[in-house]
Amino acid sequence: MAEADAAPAIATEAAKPAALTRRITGSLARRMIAIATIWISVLLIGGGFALDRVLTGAITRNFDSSLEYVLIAMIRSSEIGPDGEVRLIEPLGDQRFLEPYSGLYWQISGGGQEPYRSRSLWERTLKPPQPHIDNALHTYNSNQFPDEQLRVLERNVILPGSKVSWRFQIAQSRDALDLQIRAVRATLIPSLGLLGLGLIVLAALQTFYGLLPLRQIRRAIAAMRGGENRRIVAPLPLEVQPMVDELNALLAHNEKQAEEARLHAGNLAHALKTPLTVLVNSATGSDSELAQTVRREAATMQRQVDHHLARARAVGRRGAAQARANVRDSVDSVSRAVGLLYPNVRLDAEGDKTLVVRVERQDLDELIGNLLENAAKYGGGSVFVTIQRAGSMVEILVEDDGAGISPADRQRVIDRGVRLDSGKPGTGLGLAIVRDVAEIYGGSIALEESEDLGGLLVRLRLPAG
Amino acid sequence: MRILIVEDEPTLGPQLKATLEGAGYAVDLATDGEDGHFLGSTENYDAAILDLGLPEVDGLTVLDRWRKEKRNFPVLVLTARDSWSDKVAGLDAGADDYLAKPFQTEELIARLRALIRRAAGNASSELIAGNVRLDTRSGRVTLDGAPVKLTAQEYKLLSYLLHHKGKVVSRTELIEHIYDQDFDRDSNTIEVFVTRIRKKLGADIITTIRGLGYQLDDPQ
Repeated sequence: MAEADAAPAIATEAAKPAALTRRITGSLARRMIAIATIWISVLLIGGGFALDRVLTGAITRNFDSSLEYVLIAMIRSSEIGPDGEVRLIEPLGDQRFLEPYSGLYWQISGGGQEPYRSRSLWERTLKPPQPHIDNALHTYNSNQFPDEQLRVLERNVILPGSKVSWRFQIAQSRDALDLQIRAVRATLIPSLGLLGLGLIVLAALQTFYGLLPLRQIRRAIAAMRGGENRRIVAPLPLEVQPMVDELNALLAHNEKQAEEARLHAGNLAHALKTPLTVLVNSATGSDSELAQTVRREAATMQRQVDHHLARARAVGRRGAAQARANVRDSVDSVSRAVGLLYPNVRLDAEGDKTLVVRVERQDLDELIGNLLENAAKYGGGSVFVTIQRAGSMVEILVEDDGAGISPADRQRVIDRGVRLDSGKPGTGLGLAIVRDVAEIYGGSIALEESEDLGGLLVRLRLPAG
Repeated sequence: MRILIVEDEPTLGPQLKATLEGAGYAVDLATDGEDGHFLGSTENYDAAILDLGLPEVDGLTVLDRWRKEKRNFPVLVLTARDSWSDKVAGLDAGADDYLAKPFQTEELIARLRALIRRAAGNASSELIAGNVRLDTRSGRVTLDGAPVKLTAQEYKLLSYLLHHKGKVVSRTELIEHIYDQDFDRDSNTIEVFVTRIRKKLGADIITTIRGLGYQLDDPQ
């Protein structure tokens, strides 16, 4: 009893730390996607800034060069007048110079006089920022007009016939320029955002696909636990295969150890049987107290040995995927064995001789043996076995002409001694073992009433091979 | 009657030998498979008791060799391994009976007697009436070659009527034959059995002779 109780306790113990670890380590996929999101964001923001600089730079240069062209034209068409002042030989072509507050201005200043300026400036004057005396072209932004951001190009020029350095300035409102830059950014930022989103989605897909083998392993392990396979056999990627190999090796090792332990238990139990026979036979024929004690205790020992052997056998069962056994062969052989034990019971069988189930022959013998012996022991003297196909299953019906089992008791009989915890010999133990073994192979057992014989009908269903 | 025992266990072997000799058999004891096989192939025995767990050559191999050499004396196999597949393996190898350890010597002797009696003859005979056949050895009943499900009582009744084919058998006779002494002899149950047999084997298999009893005969 204590051993039987211990098993579920261990199972719950094992389940607890698993849940705990899951909380601590989080999801591998989430972690990978988070990392991908961070580097995609960093790269795209950095790249976006660089791209923005390049594009706005190009637009600004383009803007500046058209202004510079006007500036050069202005310088070229200016001369020193007779009064020593600068004047334009011909007016600059753009209409905007004439229109007040148009956003395009020019101004020539120097010699300490009132600057000469375009009509568009109206009453305003372009104030030079830092004074400089070189003759290079200077380009800068100016916000000297409160309601207008300006782009200014200026150059100091000494005109022929004058000793004075004249400052030529062209200014244009930045509105058009800023509009262009905004237009570029309006395309650039959403594009980059979309790109980033796409990359993150791809990274998620990559993670999902990359971690697929882990899911395969999970499924393979589940299949293994379900008894379909003994090992993880699915072809897996190079990086995962070593882990799977190790896992398989561990399984093999465990199986071998369990097998050895089982063999050991079996051998021990069998080794005890011959001495038990000797003891019982020596004590037979005497009524002394010693002989009675020996017989009684030997009987107890035999029950114990039988119980633990049955246990060792049941625990050792594994549903091998490739196992196949012919049902009729097994039924015929076992019928013969049962017939010898119960010479007064008539055993007969009917059914397709070619039906095969996915069960190891030894286990099939055990299933049928238990059912036939139950029927022979508790029936009325006739046992009939029917083998028939039912969809993907093979049904083995064992009927007897005994008293049967009332519907209320049927489930209890199958359940009694769940997982072999019943120490009592009898139908309960036998049917519980049959149910356990059948379920290991994906089969089932049901108790019904025999229509033809009036006793119990046991319907054993096993997957067809 | 001469018996061969092949048993390696130093106490059990002589114990069996003594018991069987006490029961009136002539007994040879071999303590390993090689010896046992040799004795079995050279001497004439009425039966052999063979332990399957033997040193040198195991019991199944010994049995297999005897059967290949056409040594057909009945063999009772002793085995400590009592799983059904172990029992079946012994029978499939050619054993006639098996006994799982631990066992009582009385049971061994009883089984040995039955074994020798079976081997001595008692060939199975078939009782036939029309398309119904009954094998007395196996207790198998067929209708047109297909097995028929019969309860033990139905079988006994059918078997009795077949043994007395053509005769009229009274209800009292049937009751006495089918039931134990202390059974409540309600003759109505016979009527029930006959009805069921007719349902399973055909309505005209048993004829009711009013006032006298029942008759089973080949169909005219």
